[in-house]
Amino acid sequence: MIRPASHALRERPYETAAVVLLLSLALVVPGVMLLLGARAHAHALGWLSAYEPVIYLSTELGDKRDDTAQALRSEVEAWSMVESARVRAPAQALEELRAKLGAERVQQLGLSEAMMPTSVILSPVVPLHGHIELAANVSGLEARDEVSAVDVPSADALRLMEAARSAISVALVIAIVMALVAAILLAAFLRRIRQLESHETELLEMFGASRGALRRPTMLRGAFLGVLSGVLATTTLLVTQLALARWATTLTGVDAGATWTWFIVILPVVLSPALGVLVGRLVAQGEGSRARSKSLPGTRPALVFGRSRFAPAR
Amino acid sequence: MISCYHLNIPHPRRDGALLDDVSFELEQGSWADITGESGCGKSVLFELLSLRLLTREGTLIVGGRNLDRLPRRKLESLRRRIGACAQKPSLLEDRTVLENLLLPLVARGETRRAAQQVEVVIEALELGALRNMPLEALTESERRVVAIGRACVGTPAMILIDGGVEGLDPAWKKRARSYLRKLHLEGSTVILFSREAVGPMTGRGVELRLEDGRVEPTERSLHAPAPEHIGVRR
Repeated sequence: MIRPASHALRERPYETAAVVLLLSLALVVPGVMLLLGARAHAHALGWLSAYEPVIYLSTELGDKRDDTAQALRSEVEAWSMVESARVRAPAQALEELRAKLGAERVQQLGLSEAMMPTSVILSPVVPLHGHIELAANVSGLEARDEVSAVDVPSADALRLMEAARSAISVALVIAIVMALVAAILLAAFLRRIRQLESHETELLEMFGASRGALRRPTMLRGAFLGVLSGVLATTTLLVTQLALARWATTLTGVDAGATWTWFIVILPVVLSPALGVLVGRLVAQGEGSRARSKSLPGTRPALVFGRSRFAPAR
Repeated sequence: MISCYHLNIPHPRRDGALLDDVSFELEQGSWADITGESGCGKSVLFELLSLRLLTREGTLIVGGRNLDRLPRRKLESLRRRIGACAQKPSLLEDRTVLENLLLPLVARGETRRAAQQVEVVIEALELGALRNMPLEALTESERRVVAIGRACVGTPAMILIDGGVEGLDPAWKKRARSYLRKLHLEGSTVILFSREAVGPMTGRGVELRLEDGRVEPTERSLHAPAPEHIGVRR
């Protein structure tokens, strides 16, 4: 083209902006869903691996508290899926709470050693998320008089993991649908520009421009729109990722890491230009194929994009 | 430069042929006036020689390349050596004269010295005053001169002008003819498709007369002053 490929986009700032926004939206919506699902899954997994089942003894046991705790420890330690069990005294529980929340906060809450229960903490043979039986056994202990509560994080975490898996599946389906919609939208925009400059394309072909050179502007426009929407989508996902990482750690108390979720953040900036180039190429190729089929009797068409004045009307 | 053997193209709408067993040869650097009345097949021959159409019957060799067996990429590269102006030239109406003249150089990928090469044409055809005007603001005669100039920009090896310099205002006609003759002297093959022959400045020209799709020998073509540049096959 005589003018740079980006000129046609600069001439249509509102349409270009709308296409970029819609493309980035098509990347952001499934991207955010994937991030939420992936983060939730990672945290549920981290939660299950980091936490151990805890059995809280009733504060009403009085002097029998230590003996009952030791008996319960011996009992649960005999379970095949338990590697070891230890008794946590109230003083130790308060100390752990102080380490977790800070001494000042514990003091503000008015918590004291007397308010802390004696508990038995189990260490499973393998991480808890593989032990539905252990979770069931520990949950069953809650029916006993000497037990006031049990903390088996697996049930909630397993539910969260299941929800996260569903969210990821739905996000993948949405991603495919939205990528298709985005590709159709981009193709329509690029085709419109190409049709407006079809006369110039025909003339360039008549003077010997190669097919690659004639396709290049549409592909460059696709790439350019792809890069813009990819950068916009990645920026949005980056902010979401940082916010999610912070909130999830605060909520669960587990730093799940989930390094691989950064892949979801980076993906739009790689995928979007590639999609743009592909759509641009298909649009340019489609225009060429449509022009190729007709010619004067006794002749063959020599032009791909243009046509002879003797060719029948399209 | 050009060899045609038994070109046959049927008429699309009535009996008879647009081109009927047309054969001729033109060498590099020659000047040819392909003349004939309206509807005699000049324009279809122009389309064939400017590589806008390919024939199914007959053989056409341009620049030493047989077009029957030429891959598309080679066809594009051959087209870059040709500057063509159709009878009703297709121009970019909303673009300036300068942009229209730049078009062949953009197509050929010769953008480095493009401005200089366009300036040469602007100077030769005295288009300076129109340089930045959009095509839609020009008269028919001016538009045709721009189209002829576009065919000449970059001094292509072969220049084809359908309609010749007919219909131009006298001043434009003189400039266009003189510039075409200059390019011919510099080595370009110039072929004009018109009702009447224009002829080169020197005696190296030839006239091929087309009548009802057939090449009729004329006094000039059969006794061309520079026989090494022309051969008519009957």
